[in-house]
Amino acid sequence: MYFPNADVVIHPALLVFLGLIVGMLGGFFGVGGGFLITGGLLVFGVPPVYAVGTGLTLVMGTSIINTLKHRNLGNVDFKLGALMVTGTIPAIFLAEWVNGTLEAAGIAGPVIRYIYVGFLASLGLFILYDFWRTWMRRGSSRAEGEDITTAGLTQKVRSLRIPPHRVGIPGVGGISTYVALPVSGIERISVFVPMGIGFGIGFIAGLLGAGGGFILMPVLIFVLGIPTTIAIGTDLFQIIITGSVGSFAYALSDRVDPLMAVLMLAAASIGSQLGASATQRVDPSRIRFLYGLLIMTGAVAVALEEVSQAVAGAEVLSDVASVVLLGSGGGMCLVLLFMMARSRQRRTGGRH
Amino acid sequence: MNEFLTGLSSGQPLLWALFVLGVMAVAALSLSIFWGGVFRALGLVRGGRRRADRDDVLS
Repeated sequence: MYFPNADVVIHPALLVFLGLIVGMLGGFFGVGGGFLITGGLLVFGVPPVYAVGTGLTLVMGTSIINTLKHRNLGNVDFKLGALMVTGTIPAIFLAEWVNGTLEAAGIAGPVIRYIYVGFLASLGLFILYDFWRTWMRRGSSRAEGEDITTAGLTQKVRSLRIPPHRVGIPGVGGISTYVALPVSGIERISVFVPMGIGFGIGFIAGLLGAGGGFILMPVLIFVLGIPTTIAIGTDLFQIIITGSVGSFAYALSDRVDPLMAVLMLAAASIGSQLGASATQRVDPSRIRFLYGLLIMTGAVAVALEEVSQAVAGAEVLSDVASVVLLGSGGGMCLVLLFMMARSRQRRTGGRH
Repeated sequence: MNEFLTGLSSGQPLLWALFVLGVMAVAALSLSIFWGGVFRALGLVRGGRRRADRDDVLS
């Protein structure tokens, strides 16, 4: 099939396969999957500039589908999402300016990839460490539910008192800067906390050219102490904003192939239904464990990419990186399908 | 269609960017509604069949 904007011929079955994986993992982990899409499209022979732009456009589309699905499951805290977005949007523009400065200095590529590897590796290691610690603390029983090792930190963050405590609005009077977020189980929190988190995530997302979901999901769980399924749904809502801003910027400079994006979106919409439903059947601690593994694979892939660019004659590592990403994504989908089938078997078994 | 896509993307960048966002948003919403309906219908069919099986056992 010919894609006129990217000027490339790709078998549609490959794009459908990639779309299915991205949709399923996006619905299950609450990530846009930008790193997976870009890696996959590069393997299929899409020029790099179109791979990133089309990837971001697909991230936006899948996030809309996944957010709607999670909203139906009661997993989205729109109030928290809206507060974070107010910090995210200015941060994306600030990051673009920093990116431009780094590019002018000729160090944008390596700096961004080093930060990317550092973030992915430390996040992945921390999530796996948290699972291991919780598992050890429970002794012989397995780690389950919403047990996390950072419970003390979440209490401190939630009880932060950040001035001003009230803001005056003409005609309305003084309004408290503290809100309750009942969907997330937070009784009272300063609005500046989620706004600050949104700012930080937006800055990193803009700097790395990603949706930022891979950082926001663990931050919501381990820093704000939000239940895993709510963190997944709210994270996806936030990615709609970062994905839209990113795809708009890439489309302006004609680096998006909408035909390719729509074809993958059609497949992703089926995967999304499965992934989002799986969050209701798999234990939250296992979701976090699998997420840690996926993030670690991402770190390995980006590190391989960096080596392929830095060392002469190691260009083949770039393809290896993309294959590692696609392979781990596909493998993760199989694990999810297996877990869903087992949970279903257990439920029907229990009924008889 | 190929000429339309390449012509719009190279000639009208702002219109093109809005077109891309619009197409993706409409496609995402339509697919979401479509699959939501399909899965709901499947759930109803399966629920009905399960009830029928149970009635058979009881009678």
